Amino acid sequence: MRPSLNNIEFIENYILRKFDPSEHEIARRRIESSPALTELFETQKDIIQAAKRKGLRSEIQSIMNIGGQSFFYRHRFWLFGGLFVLSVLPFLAFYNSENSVIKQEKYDLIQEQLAKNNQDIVPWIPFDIQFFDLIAEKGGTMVGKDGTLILLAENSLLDASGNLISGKVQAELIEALDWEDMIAYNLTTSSGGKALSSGGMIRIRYKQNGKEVFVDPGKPMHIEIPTDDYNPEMKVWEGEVQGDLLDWKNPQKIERYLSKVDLEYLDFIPTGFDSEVSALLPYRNHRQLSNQLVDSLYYSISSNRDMYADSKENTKSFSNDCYFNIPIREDKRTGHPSNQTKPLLKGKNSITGQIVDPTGKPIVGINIKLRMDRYLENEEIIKTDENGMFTFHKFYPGEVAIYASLHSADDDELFWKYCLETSFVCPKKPQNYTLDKPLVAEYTSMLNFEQLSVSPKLGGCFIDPLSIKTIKGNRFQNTFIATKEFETRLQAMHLSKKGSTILQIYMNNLSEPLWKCDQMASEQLSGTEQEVFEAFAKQGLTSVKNDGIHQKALMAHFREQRIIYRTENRKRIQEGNTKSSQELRSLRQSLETVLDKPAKLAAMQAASNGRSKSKTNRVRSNKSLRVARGPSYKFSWFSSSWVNIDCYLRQLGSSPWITSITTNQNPKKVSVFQCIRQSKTVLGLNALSDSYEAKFPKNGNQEETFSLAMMMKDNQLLFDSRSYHPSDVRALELKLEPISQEEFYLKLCSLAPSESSIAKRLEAKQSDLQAQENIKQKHAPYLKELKTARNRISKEVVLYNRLFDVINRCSKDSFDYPL
Amino acid sequence: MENTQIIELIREGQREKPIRFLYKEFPKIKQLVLKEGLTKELAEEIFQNSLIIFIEKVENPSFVLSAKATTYLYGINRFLTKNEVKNQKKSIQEEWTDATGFDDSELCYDFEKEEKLNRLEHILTQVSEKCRQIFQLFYFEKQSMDEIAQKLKYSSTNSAKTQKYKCIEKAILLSETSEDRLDKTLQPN
Repeated sequence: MRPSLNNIEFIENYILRKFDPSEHEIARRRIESSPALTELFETQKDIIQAAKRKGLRSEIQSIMNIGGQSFFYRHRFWLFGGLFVLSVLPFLAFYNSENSVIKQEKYDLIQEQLAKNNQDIVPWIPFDIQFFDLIAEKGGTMVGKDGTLILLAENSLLDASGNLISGKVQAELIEALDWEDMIAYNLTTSSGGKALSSGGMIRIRYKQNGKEVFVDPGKPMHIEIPTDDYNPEMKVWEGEVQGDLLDWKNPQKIERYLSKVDLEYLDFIPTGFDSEVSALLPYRNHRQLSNQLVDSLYYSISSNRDMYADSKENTKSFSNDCYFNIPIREDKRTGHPSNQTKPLLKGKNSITGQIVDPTGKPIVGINIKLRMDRYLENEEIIKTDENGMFTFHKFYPGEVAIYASLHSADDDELFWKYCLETSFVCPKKPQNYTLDKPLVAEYTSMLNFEQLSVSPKLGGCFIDPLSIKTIKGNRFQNTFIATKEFETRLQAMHLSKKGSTILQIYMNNLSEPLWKCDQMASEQLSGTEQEVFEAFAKQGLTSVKNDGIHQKALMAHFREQRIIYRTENRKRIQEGNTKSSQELRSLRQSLETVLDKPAKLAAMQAASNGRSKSKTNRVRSNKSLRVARGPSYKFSWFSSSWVNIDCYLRQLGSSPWITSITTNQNPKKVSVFQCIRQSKTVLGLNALSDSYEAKFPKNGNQEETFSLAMMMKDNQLLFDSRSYHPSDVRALELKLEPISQEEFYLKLCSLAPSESSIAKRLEAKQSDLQAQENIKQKHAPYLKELKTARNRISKEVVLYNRLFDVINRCSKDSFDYPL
Repeated sequence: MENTQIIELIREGQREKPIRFLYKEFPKIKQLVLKEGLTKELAEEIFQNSLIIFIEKVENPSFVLSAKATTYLYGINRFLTKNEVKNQKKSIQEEWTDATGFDDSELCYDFEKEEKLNRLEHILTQVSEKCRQIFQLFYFEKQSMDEIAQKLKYSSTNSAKTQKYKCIEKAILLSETSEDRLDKTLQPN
C-alpha cells in the first residue's frame, strides 16, 4: 500500500480501537507528536461521524416518509392489490433465493459438524455427561457442575437438514475445567504441534428423540467459562480429532466487552463490612443482619452525612430507595428462591403491609406499586384501604420491590421516585411454613435510616460512603459501573489509601473503555496497588455492550445467582458468629491438616468431581455462582465440537533438557503424555522407534512435571506415572499396571493435589475462618464497651469508632488484595 | 414511551421505534417553525437534524437525559430554529412553551464542527457509489469487512480494506479542495 494509505489505515485502526491497550497508547503518542497525523486523525474522525449521520439521516427519512404519509399512501398496497402482487413477485423470488443461500450455508455448516462428530476421541474413563431438559422454542440457561454458563436462545435449534425444530430437547454438557478431567478424557492441549496452556474445555450437544440437533449458526449460544486467574492472551479453539487425539484449530478471540448487571445486586460496600456489623449485633432492635442495616450503617460513616440528612429533611422521609427485597417462593429442598418461570397460583401467597404516618395514623388511598423483577416490568398498582392496608396476592418467583407514591398512578417513572422510605420486614419464616400459607410483610418503623447520631469524624483514608450511594443510582445503569468487573475494581479501591482519587478517575472517564481507566488508575499508584491495576488494564476490557438475543436471560441469571449468593453469605456470616474463637480456630486447624495431607486432598478432589464411591468427603460449594461473581471467559459458540480456552505455552522445548521415556509395553499401543500442572498442559508424545521424547519450557515450576502412560488392553486400563525434575532425569521407564477407573482418577488427583481446585477452595475457606477469627478478636474490647456503655449515645460512639476503623486505610499498611 | 425505554432502544441500535415516537411531535414543531417565517422544507431539515443530534447524544453512554425526551427534542428544535432565524436576521417568537426548562447550553452545540460535518456529509455524496456503499455498510450498519468483501464481491477482505482506505483518501481530498474554495470565497478580492 502507498504510505498515505498506510497512515489512513493506522488512524482508522486507532479510532476503531483495533490495537491492544499498550499499542493503543503508543499510537496515541505517535499521533499527538505529529501535527500531520493529528490533522488526519481529526478529519478521519469527522468523516466517520459524517458517514454515520448520512446513514442515520436516510433511516430517519425513510421512517418519516412511511410514518408521515396519508392513509391513502399507507394503504396503497391494499388498494392496488393486484398490481402489488405482480410487482412484488420478482422481489419475492430474490428474497427467496437470498434466503435459500443462507439456508444452504447453515446446512453446509451442520453437515460439516456431523462429519466431524463421526470421529470422536475415546476417553480413558467414561465422560461425566450432564443432562439438561429444554424446550426448543424457549431456549434456556444452563450452569454446569463446574460453573460453565451456557445460554441457548429461543428458537435456535435446527435439525440435520437445517430446519427449525420445536418441542423437548436434551442438552448434553461435558466439562473438563480441572486438569485431571482433561487427562482422564484424553483431551490433549496442542495445536499443530505447538503446546497450549488451557483455561478449560467443554463440549455441548443437543439431542431430540436420540437424534442430534444443532445450534443455528445465526443464533449462537452465549458461553462463559469461569476462571480463577484470568489470562488476557487466551483464545477460544475448536477441537478436531486427528488420529486418536484432539488438535485445536480456528482460534477466535474472547469477548472483551462488559455485560450489564442490575446495579442493585452489585456489592459496592467493602468486603467484610457485613461480617463486622454482624459481630457487633445486637444493636437497637436488630438481632439479625439485614441489607438495610449494613447499608445504613455504612452510609452513616460518611463525613458528609449531615448534608445528606438535611436534604432528606426536605423531602420529608420520601426517597427513591424504599423497596425491600424478599425472595418469593423458596425451593423446599435447597432453601433457594426457585428459578422456575411458571407463575404461582393466584392467592396462594400474599404480602400485606400498612402505611402509617410518623404519628402512627394510617394513610388512606396511597398508591402502592409491587414490582416483580425490575426489568421484566411485571408490576401491579393498588391503593391502600381505609386502614392504610394493602395486600398483594399474585406473585412470580424472583425479587420483589414495593414502592409507594403519593402521586397519581401515572405511568411516568418520575412520580414513583417519591416513594415512602419505610423499612418493611419480612417476618422470620415460621417453622411450619408451607407454600400455601401467606407470607406477611409488616411495616415496622418510620425511621429514614438507622443513622448513628454521633458526629462524624473528619478525614480518614477511604471512599466516602456517600459516593458509593451515588454510583448506585439508576443513572449509572448503562455505564461500566453496573458490571461485575467494576465491582472487582471497586473492592480493590476500598483497600487502597488512595481509593477516592482512583474512584474519581473512573467517574470522570465513564465514556472511556474500562482498560483505559485501569491504566490511568495504575499511573496514580505504586507497588502492589499499581500491579493490581496494571493487571486489570492488561485484561483489555472495553465498555458495556448489549448481549443481544441473550441480554434478558443473562441479566436474569446474574440477578438470581446474586440473590442466592447474598442469602448464602449471610448464612455463612451468622454461622461464624455463633461459633466461639476456639471453635473457629479448631475448624481452621482441621483444614490445615487436610491441606497438609496430599492423599486426603486427592481423595477429596476425586470425590468433589463425583469420581469416588464414598461421598462422605464431598465438599459442598456452589459453583453455579462462579460466572455471576468472578472473572470468566466469554464467547459466542454454535459448534458441537469440543471447545477449549487456550493460549500458546511460550518457550516449550527451549530448556536444554530432553528426557527419554520408555515403557514396559508395545510402544505402538501405549499413549504417553507429558503434563505440566501449573499451566494445565497435556501433551501427547510422539513415539520414536522404541521411546518417547519429552521437552520442557524454560520457566515455570518444573517440579510439577509428569510423564504419564496409558493403554487399553482387553477393556482393562493400564497406567503408570512419574513426577520428576527434568534437570535430573535423562531417561525413565514407565511400568504400566492394570488399574481400576476410580484408582486411576485418584492417581491423577494425587499428581499435584496442592494445585487442585479443592485445595484452592479449602484455602479460601481457611482464610475466611481466619478473618472471622480476627474480627472476633478485634471486637472483643468493643463488645465489652458496648455492654458497659451507659446510654444509647455512648453505645453509638463505640459502634461508630469501630466501623470507622474498619473502613479507614490510613493506619493500615498492607494492601491485601489477592493478585 | 418512557425515557429509559427510548434510551435503551437507541443504545441497542433499534432506532425505529423511538424515531416513530418522536416523529409524532413533528406536526406541532413544524407549525412553530413555520410561525418563525421559515419554509416547510427547512422545518423538515431542522427536525431531521434535531433527531440526529438527539440520537448521537443518547448513544454516548455517559449522557444523562435531564428532561423528558420530547422536551429535549423541542429544545433542540427551538435552538436550531433560532439559529436559522438568526442567519436570516430575524428574531425568534416566544411560542416554544414545550421546550420550557430546556437550557440551550446543555446541548454544547459546536457551530464550527456542525458546519464541518454538514460539509463532509455533502462530500460523502460525491464519492463513488462503491465508496458510499462501503461507508454505509461499515460505519453505519457496522458490518465486518469480511461481510462487506463478500457482499460487494471483492476478491478478498484485504482488497476491500484497501478500497475503503482509498475511499477515505478521496473524501479527505474532496474536503480539502472544498475547504480551499471556502477559504477563497472568504478572502477579499
